[in-house]
Amino acid sequence: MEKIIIHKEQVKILTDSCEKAYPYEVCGAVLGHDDMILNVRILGNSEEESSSRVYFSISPMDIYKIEKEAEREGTELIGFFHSHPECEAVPSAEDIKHMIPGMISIIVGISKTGRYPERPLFSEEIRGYVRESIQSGIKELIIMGD
Amino acid sequence: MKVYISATLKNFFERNSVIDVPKKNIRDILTFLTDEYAESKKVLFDAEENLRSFVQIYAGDENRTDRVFWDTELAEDTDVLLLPAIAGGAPVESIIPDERRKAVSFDDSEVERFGRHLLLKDIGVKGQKRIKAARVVVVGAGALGSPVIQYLAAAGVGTIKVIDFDDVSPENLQSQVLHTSRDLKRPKVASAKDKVRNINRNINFEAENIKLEADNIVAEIDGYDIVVDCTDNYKTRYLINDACVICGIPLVFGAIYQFEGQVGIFNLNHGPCYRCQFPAPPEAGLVPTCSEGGAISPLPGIIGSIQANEVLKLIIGIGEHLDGKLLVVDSLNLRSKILKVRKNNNCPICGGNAVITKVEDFDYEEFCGLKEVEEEIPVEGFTPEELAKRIENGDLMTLVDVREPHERAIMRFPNAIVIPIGQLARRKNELNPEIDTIFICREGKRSILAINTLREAGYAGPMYNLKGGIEAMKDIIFSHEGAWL
Ligand SMILES: [Zn+2]
Ligand SMILES: [Zn+2]
Repeated sequence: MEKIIIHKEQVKILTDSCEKAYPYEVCGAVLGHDDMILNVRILGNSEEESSSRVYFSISPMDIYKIEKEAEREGTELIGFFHSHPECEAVPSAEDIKHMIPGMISIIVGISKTGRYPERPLFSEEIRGYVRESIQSGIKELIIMGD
Repeated sequence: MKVYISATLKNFFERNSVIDVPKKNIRDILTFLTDEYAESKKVLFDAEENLRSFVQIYAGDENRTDRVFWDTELAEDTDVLLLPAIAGGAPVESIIPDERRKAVSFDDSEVERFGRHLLLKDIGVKGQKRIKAARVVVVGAGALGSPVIQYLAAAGVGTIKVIDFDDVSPENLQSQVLHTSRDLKRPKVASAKDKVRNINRNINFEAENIKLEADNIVAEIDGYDIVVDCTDNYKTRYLINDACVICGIPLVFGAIYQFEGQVGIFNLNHGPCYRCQFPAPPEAGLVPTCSEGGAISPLPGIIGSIQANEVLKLIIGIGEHLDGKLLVVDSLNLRSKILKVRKNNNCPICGGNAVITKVEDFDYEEFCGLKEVEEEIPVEGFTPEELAKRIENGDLMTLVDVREPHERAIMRFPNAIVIPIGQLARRKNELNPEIDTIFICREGKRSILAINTLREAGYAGPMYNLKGGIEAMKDIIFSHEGAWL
């Protein structure tokens, strides 16, 4: 796998959800076929109430439900996304530990520039990664619009 | 038994999503699957045979990932599921930019001095350079400031600015270990400076013997990396929070009262601020400040040390810290808990429709009830001398002590009845409206609140306040009482 293809509308869903959750992390699932993202599903953050605002987790049962929904829609669960508020869009050690071989991992670095009282002005950076097999390292993917 | 395989994992099971396994417990099921599908073994388990972080095992709706469940026999119709766990987080980053870290170097004496930090994997040379590059403001060189300033200096923080307008007084020596008997009547920042110089002469120490106000705070903290709140009053606490939000500086907050302390980090990367949790100070006089309330000696040592530790973690960029959280420590019963502070969209200063846009736009003095309340609602009062004379004359009057129980234990007021402020309105019938009632508190502020409270509750009798409170009266000794304690 070398690239991910994502449509403008899906990019907007991604960045909107990251801005809405800011300064907290948001996460979700990406559905599609192979390297083509056709749908983005926001899953919130089940760590919200208990942990720090720079940590997320998705409940396994929620993922399973989404897989089944995707099947009905004729797509597949091909990966996950989460945001890094005020951090670079590179995977942390914790992120890497949870990367399933073959699954796409999209990270959105989101930063609010400018000091109060300026209104929020976000800048985002979207990057994609994959671990091709359990022995291999993390590889960055090229992100292409369609 | 049917085993359902998540789509995320089925590539390792020859793309099967349901597999029939003739086994009755999870351990046997896993052995069967990994024997049958060779590729799955190295994906599910690491080299030490531990299940990988991204694998979860469910039996029905129950998470059975933990090995303690693996030998339990499952009912015939149980569905076993192999699911993914997806988690992660942003990497913890230092608040000191790399350019500044790289500009720092150490000489031999520093390598020797900080050797123990340099050996720690999570600090090392990089971390220690960040510490040296850091510029930290500590507001308050009192109880909390004492451990904070000394530990930051010992750890090698390159620039430490300490702001405090107070002089050292004897009662400070019980908990403010920065100062000694020799420092009495000197500015607190002066003894702080001496202490820091004795620890490490290379530290750039900035002493500010001033009172922080709305019109000077921004200039005092702007350009620094972290502000540590070691103050003991609400006025300054809100002033610091607001200035930190406006300047975009993270704030390490600490507070102590009696046996309890709190630590939290606010305004880190636009995270929640102090006002998100406490939009406005409590009503004037209801919560005594530390200088009124008191705290056990080592408590500020505990809380201040945690503050210093959080400051260093932010500087180095390690660990999980109290960002958006409030650690509450009860030193009397040795309990602690961490409360979550959520970003509040209606926060008056950092929320979406913030009403506070500048520090100077806000009248803290009025807000916190520190302004002389007498200006607005006249309250008549007696000076300590006047009251002493009336007591000696045997004038008919009721004395009401509105202090907290623990405060009265230290200095009892003779012949006073005791009614805490919260109970005044409903206990007003205990007072005789035909004679004068004199209200007493520690500093003469809560007693004014007591009078206003009773007025509002409809009490019509004559009420007076002891000006300056018990503090002002403690040098006067009644001829017939002998002594105070
Ligand atoms: Zn991450
Ligand atoms: Zn706030």
